[in-house]
Order: sequence, then structure tokens, then C-alpha cells
Amino acid sequence: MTAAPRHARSGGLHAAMAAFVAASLLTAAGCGTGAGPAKAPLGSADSLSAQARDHAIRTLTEFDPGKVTVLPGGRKLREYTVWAEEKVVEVAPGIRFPAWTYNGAIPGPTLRCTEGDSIRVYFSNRGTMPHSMHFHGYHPAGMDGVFEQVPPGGTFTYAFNAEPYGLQLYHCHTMPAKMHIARGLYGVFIIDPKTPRPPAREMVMMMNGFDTDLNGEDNEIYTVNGFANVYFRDYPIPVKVNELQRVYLVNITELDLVNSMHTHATFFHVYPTGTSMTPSTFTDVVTLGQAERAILEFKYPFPGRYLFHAHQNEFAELGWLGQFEVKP
Amino acid sequence: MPKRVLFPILLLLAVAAVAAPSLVARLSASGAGPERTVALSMREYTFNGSNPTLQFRPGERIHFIVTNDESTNVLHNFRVVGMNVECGPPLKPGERREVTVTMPKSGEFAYTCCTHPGMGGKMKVEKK
Amino acid sequence: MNRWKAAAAAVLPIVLVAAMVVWFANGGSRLLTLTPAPIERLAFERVEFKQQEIVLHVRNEGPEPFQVGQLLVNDALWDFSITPDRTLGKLGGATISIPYDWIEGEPYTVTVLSGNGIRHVKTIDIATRTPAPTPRLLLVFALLGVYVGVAPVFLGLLWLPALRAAPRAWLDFWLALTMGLLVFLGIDTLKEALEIAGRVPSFVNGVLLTALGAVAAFLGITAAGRALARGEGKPSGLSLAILIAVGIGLHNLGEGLAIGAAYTLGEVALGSFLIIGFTLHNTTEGLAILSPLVEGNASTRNLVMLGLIGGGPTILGTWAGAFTYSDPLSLLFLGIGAGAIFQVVRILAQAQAKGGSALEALGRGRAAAGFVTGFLLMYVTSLLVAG
Repeated sequence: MTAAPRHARSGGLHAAMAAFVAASLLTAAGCGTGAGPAKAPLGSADSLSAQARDHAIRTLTEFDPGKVTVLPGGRKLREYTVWAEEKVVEVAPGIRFPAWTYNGAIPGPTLRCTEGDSIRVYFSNRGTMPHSMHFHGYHPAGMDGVFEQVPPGGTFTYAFNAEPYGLQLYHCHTMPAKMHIARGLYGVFIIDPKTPRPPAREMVMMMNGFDTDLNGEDNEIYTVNGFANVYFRDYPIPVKVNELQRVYLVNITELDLVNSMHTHATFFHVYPTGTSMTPSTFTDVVTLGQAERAILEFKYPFPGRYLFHAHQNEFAELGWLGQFEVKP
Repeated sequence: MPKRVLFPILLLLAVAAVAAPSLVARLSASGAGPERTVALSMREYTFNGSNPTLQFRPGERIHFIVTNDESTNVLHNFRVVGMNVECGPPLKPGERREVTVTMPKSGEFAYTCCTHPGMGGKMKVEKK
Repeated sequence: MNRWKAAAAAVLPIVLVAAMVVWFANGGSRLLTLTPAPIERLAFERVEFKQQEIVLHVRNEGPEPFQVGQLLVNDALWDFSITPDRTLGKLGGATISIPYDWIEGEPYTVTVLSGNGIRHVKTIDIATRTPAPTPRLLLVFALLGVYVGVAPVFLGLLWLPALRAAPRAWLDFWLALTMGLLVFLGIDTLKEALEIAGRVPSFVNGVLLTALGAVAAFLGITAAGRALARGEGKPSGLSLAILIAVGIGLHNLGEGLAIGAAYTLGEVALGSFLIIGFTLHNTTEGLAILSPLVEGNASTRNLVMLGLIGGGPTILGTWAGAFTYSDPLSLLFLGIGAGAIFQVVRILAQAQAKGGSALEALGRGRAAAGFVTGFLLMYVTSLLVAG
């Protein structure tokens, strides 16, 4: 089965409407019949939690370089496999979310390449409604993932050259895009400059929100990389004193205008969109609009535990909170 | 004649058979059973380094020995909300607090330090 | 043979209904493609504020098992303990304890985020330390009951000599005034019930529960009235007064419940102004009991008894409301109060009509003035407790 049915609380008209819309979508998609309403397995909550937690921890430092072939002339061909899948995931301990995902989890894989590489993304839609992949960057109109919708069961190959270098992203652009993004169809796309950045400990942080009651008004849970408080409760990020840290920070939060990151006890250089090798600012709070991104570079001068979080403290206390564990 | 005597005796035996296990359980739950000691070390703003999830059996008597093992001068305390283990006076490094709790029938309970956010974990009491 | 047939005919519908239920429960409902997603319902039965701790008593009133996922206080994720289980079966309850340094007098919003990500919200307007039934608090709430219920009724009873001194021709006025007072109280009680009925889960059927109480009380008072009249056809002054006192007593029970519960649930701050308001408002209730006693004589003992019947239940109400409040029970009691009051009004109207049309009797000059005065008196004094 795919997504779980949504449950509406009594008296919540919007929730009830969302439930109705979701239910009719499911029915229209052909999965509301036969076996009765799909039920999210109550008993497997712990394993769902573990999956989401592990995914968030992996996403922090896992980069997908694709299958690399050197083409005649020296250009590199990178081939990636991505699929869309509707799946129940956990976004906070005990909170299930009927997600639409790339490769079964939120966010999708971090695709990484170098400026000028030839890119092939083999996309297949394993879902029950049309989906697509829309990359930020230069590419021909037919590769934009907007007019070429991929129907359920369909496939599409996105082919373009990786340009310009910087911190990009990809997301579904099927209408209503707000819903397809809010449900989890997004991932980070890094195009490294030909002259590599200096060595550093590199991390990906995709800031997002989850409108778990699907009322389309606000997010109940905020996370980095898909699981609330994961770097606060489950995996304080281990780093070393004076080691250069580089965070690829992307904001894909829907329903809120901005999201932000604040580091305690240190300051960072900001490279907006990663499209320049010269930082624009030296600060300890960066605020990003929707789909805006920035590369942050910083060091911790002292050992200890230091929080980092959205400085919208509302978001922080709804799950966007983490800590660095700085070792001598 | 014997039938008349036999019936009440059987009835009594049946009642005893049904009641005995729960009676024994109640007795052991009310303090007659042995205590198990669980040590919790408070260090680097965590319990036992990782804020573990602790598993208990219903009615089990647990003797918690909670020690402040911080190397810096940090005060901590130990609280289990919903189990009547209140914050108490803060512990200085090297100090410890001992508290004995009879586990309830079932549930999930948060144990925390009353002053440090994120310092704490869960205690789970599984139904029999 | 016929008897068997009759028995079979009696049992057959039951068997068929049972078969239908079994078939439906085992997936027969799948044929109905319109089956919507199940609705989650979580009732907050009680919220307690303890030392650095908030305790929620919740119940799953939806058709499916309910899973408590996360807990939010003022829109922030918070630690919590839950017993007996995170998953609540149908109609299953749980106690959630939250370590929270709440501040006296401030508003709080607690949200249970279900496993399906749905918000279930409870807002507490004024956080107040939840009273435990200590002897001292029992006394405090008893005193509260005395202030708002017992004392006013007795004060009202002190008007008896004055009423008796008034010209006899004015008796109709007093009777009608009483009816005006009572009709106001009856409507007020129903209004209270409807407010509560609006917040209880729909499966409780709040309005029907109130109606059940009202009908039962209405019929009960009718039977009591008949017994008191002892077949004389017309109830005596004292028995009428007793009936009025019973009706008012039941109303005050509901009022006490509401006051005690509102205090406990953090909905009102019981300032002295509010208590004075209730006192003035309820003094008129004593007046209502008196009107049938203007003619004939009533001993002091009888008056004390009437006062206790009318005012005493307030104390029971404040206790029950403060320490063991439950919405459905309140609905039932408010219904009983309303039913009793309307039946007493009916008896009074009959007594006044002396066999004629009750409505016509009320329409005569003094009676009409009395009715309106009574209603107005209640309305004006009710402004003192509005809020």
C-alpha cells in the first residue's frame, strides 16, 4: 500500500476537508478499494522511527556521486537513479506522515557532481499520481520537469550539463507544487566548482517542515534532514576543535516564509547559493527564503556542546534543534 | 449429604486458585519482592553518556543510584514525571541521590534533569 | 405451535440484526465505497496543575485505536510520561504527565499530536493549582456553596413576614413573580447545558442526555406532586413550596457543579465580585419558595427544611465539580434541574389558574406584571455574574 488515510479531529473543518480530499485522492488512485482503508501499522512505530533517524544521520554526510564514466574528450558522465515513491515515514518519534518521497525517504539523495559534468538522471515514478524532477540550474526547457510530467509507472531521463557551480536543489514540480513539496519530494544537488573548495568536514542540512495534519495552513513539525531533533537527541554531531566545518544549508520549508540557522559560540562565513568562492557575510544567523540556500564555513575554538537551531524559536521547539559535540 | 459439603469446598478452591496469583503479585508489588539496583551516571549533560531507554517489569522495585559524575562544576537533578520522583535539591559533582520506585503496571515515563534541556530519556514498563 | 411461531417471530429480527452486525464488522462495509477515513477524537477529561507538572486525563472517543505521538505545550515539543499505554483502544483512557514549570494565572495550550499527525488541542484560560480534596479545601468549597447557595436562599426566606403583610390581592403577583423567576432559571439551566453539550464528544449526545434528565425530573416531580397532594386534587401551600424548593435545589446542584468545575478547569477566577453576584442572584430564589406560603402557616422548622432543600445541593455541587468533575454527569444534572423547574412552573400555573386556562390567568394585570418583574429581577441580578 502507499499512503495511510488521514484522520481528522472532530470539529476541525480544515482537517476534515483535508481528510476528505486525501481519502478521495486515494480512492481515485485506486488504492481505497479492495482491502479497505489502508492503515499505518501501529506496532512498527519503533522501526519507522529508527529508519527515519538513520536516514537523517546518513543524509548529513552521504553524497551520491552517481555512476561515473569518462567520455571521449575527458568530460565525465554521471548517471543517477531516482524514483518517486509514496510511503509512510516518521518525522518525529511516534508521528507518522504519509509522505511522497524520492528513493523512499525525506530528503531524497544528495546528488553531487562537478561543474561541466554530463548528467543523466533516470527517473521512474512508482507512485499513484504524476510526479517530476525539477532541477535548479541551467538546462534546456524540455529538461525542466514542469511540462514533462511523468505518469504513474512512467519513466523520464533528465539529461543536462552541470552548470553553474553552487549549492542547488531538486524538487517535484507537479501541480499543486506546494503540496508535492510539502509532502517531501525534494533533495540537495551540489555542483562543485572545477577548482575544489578547501578540505573540510562537509555536512548537508536540508531544513523542512511537516504539515502532519495536512490542513495546508501550518507545519506541526520542523526538522533538518527529516527527523525532529535528530542532531539534538539522537546524534549530537561530533566535530573537532578548530577543524573547518562546511554546511550545505538548504531551506525547503513550505507554508512558512523563511527558515534560519543560528550557531552558538561561533561565527560562520556565508556563501550565498555557493556560486562564489568569496563569502558575503560573517555572522551567526542566516535566514533563507523558500528554496534559498547557502554554504556556511566555521570552526569551533573551544570544546563542549553547542546548540544550533532555527532562530525562529517556534521552529526550534518544534524539532529544528541540534547540537555539535566539539572534542579537543 | 457429601455433595452439599463438597460443592462449597470446590467453590472455595476455585476462588482461591483464581485469586492466588494476583494476590501473590500484589504482595510482591507492595514491597515484599527484591529490589534491583539501577545506576545512572550524570556526565557531559547526559545520563550514562547516551540517555538510554530503560526497560522495567510491572511492579518491579527499582533502587536508582544517581550520581553526578561531571568533571566541571555543574549541578544536576533527577526527576521521573508521573512516578512521583520529584526534582529534589540539585546534586553537586560527586554527590549522589538514591531513590526506590515501585514500577507501575505499564506506560512510558520521561526521566530528566530538571535544569538541562535534552538531558534525559525514557523508561518503559511493558505490560505482562 | 402458535406460541413457538410467535417466539420465533420475536427472535428473528434480533438474529438478523446480529448477523448484519457481524457481517458489517467483518468487512462487509467495504462494499460501501463511500466509507470515509476514520475520524480521530480525543477528549480531554480533566487537566490538573500540580507542582511543576501538568497532568492530562485523555480518552479516545473515536472509532479506531488512538496513538499519542508527541506532546506540545504552547506549541513546543515537550517531554511527557504516559500510562497505561501510548496506544488507546476504543474508549480507552490515559494519563499524561508533563514536567512543566507553569505559572499561576497564565493561559496554556496543550496539544496531543496523534500518531497520524493530527492536533488535538486543549486550551486552559487560567492555570490554577488543582485542589486536592483535603479537609481544608472541602471546607473552602463548602463555604463557597454556603455563600452562593444556602445563605441567599435563607435570606430570601426572611421576606415571608413582609409578604404576608402585603395585601391579599397581591398574591397573584407573588405567584407570577415566582414563575418568572423559575422560568428564567429553567432557561438559564438549559443554556448552561447546551454550552456543555457543545464541547462534549458527539458520541455522548449531550443534548439528548440533558433531555433525558429533564424528562425524568419532569415526570418525577409530577409523581411527587401527586403524592404530596394526597388525592386532594390541589396541592397544599407547603407541598407546593417543597416542590419549588426541590426544583431550585436541583438547579443549584447544577450551578454548584458549574462553579466548582469552572474553578478547577481554570475557566474563571472566583473573585469576591463573582461570589457577591451569585449571592444576590440566588436571594431571589428564596423569594420563589415563599409565594405558596403566604396563605396558611409554615413553622420555622419547615422554613429551615425548605432552605436546606433549595440551597444545600449547592455544596454537593461545588464539591463534585471541584474534585470529580465530568461533563456528561453535569449534563444529566443540569437536565434534571431544568425539568424539575419547568414542572414546578406548571404546577404553580395550575394552582393560579384555579381550574381555568393557565396562560389566561398569567395574562391578567397583576400576574403579568409579577411574571415580568420576576424575570427581570433574575436578568438584572444575572448581569452581576455574567462573564
